[in-house]
Amino acid sequence: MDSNWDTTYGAARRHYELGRLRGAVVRALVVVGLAAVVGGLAIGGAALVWLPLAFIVSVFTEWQGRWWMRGARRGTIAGFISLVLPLSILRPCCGSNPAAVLGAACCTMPSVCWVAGGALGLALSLVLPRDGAANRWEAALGMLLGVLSITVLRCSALFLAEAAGLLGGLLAGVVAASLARALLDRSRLAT
Amino acid sequence: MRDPVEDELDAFMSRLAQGEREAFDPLFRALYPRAMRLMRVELPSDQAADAAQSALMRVFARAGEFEAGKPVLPWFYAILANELRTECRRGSARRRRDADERLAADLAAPDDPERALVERELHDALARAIASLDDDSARAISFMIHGTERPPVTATAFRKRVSRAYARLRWLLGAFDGQ
Repeated sequence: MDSNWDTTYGAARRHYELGRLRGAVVRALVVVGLAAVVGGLAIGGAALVWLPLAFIVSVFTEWQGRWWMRGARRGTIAGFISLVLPLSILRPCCGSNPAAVLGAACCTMPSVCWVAGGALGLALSLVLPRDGAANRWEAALGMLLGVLSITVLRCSALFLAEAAGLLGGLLAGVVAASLARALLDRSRLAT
Repeated sequence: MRDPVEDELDAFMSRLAQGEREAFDPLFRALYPRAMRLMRVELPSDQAADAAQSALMRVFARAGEFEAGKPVLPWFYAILANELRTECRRGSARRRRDADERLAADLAAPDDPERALVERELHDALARAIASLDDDSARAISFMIHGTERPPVTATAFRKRVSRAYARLRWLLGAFDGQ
């Protein structure tokens, strides 16, 4: 190979990565803008401190592309669903009185958050992109990053144990369902 | 290494657009000689390599925006053509005319096999772009370019059809930098 080939190859590769990064930043700004509006309206200003995390995750997954990106996009949509989950569901013992739900004096129910997170995680695994095992795990990780980066905004309105419950439930739901599907696929291949 | 056929190139570019870096190498190997050939035909050899490099940098910088299902070569040549126009705008046309006199032997002659190859591939790329249009648009463009049978519609409807077909063709050829 001549030196011009090598130089052009390297320059083209660098420009490819920079082009992807530029596209990823633009798309991440759209996601973060939407999250700012939805989070700000549904939860309040406190949620917005987590936006840099959503931005970083979105830039990373969009730049990576492939299954990371496909999984993260679906996870981000699910994350937005978690943003509009009413506190009366996550903290049911407080009843439907908004003032009581937001007050620190109200009882907390981390177990309900676990269940809500787990249900969301299991539902997410149903829309996990289907492909070979390696790609499926890449997609599952992308999905997890996507959903957590947006759901964490919801956690700013929760107590620590509730937030841990919601995120833990999500993690457990996606991992359990992904494992179950991997085992199912393996047993299908074996028979 | 054999030259990937156009369908393979389309698939490579679609994969690269999705972030599959494994598709970069075969795609670069297929596009680099094409870029060099075109630039060598159009520019003196001392400018051709730089222009080809610059065009390929643009192609790969925009790879993430490539839409799966579009043919890659018309899009690729549209970017190369744009790069040539940019060179002209920069004033290289003047330098090129000067260079023509000094380096006449350096440029491809009209009957040069490389020039013929480039022209054939440009025609193929255009034909491929036209073929990927919907039937009505493809027939309208074919009538305008090749004088084939005119579709049986009113003159007004045909004008609108041609206008839509050209707009679609421009989009398909990349609409690079809005051109």
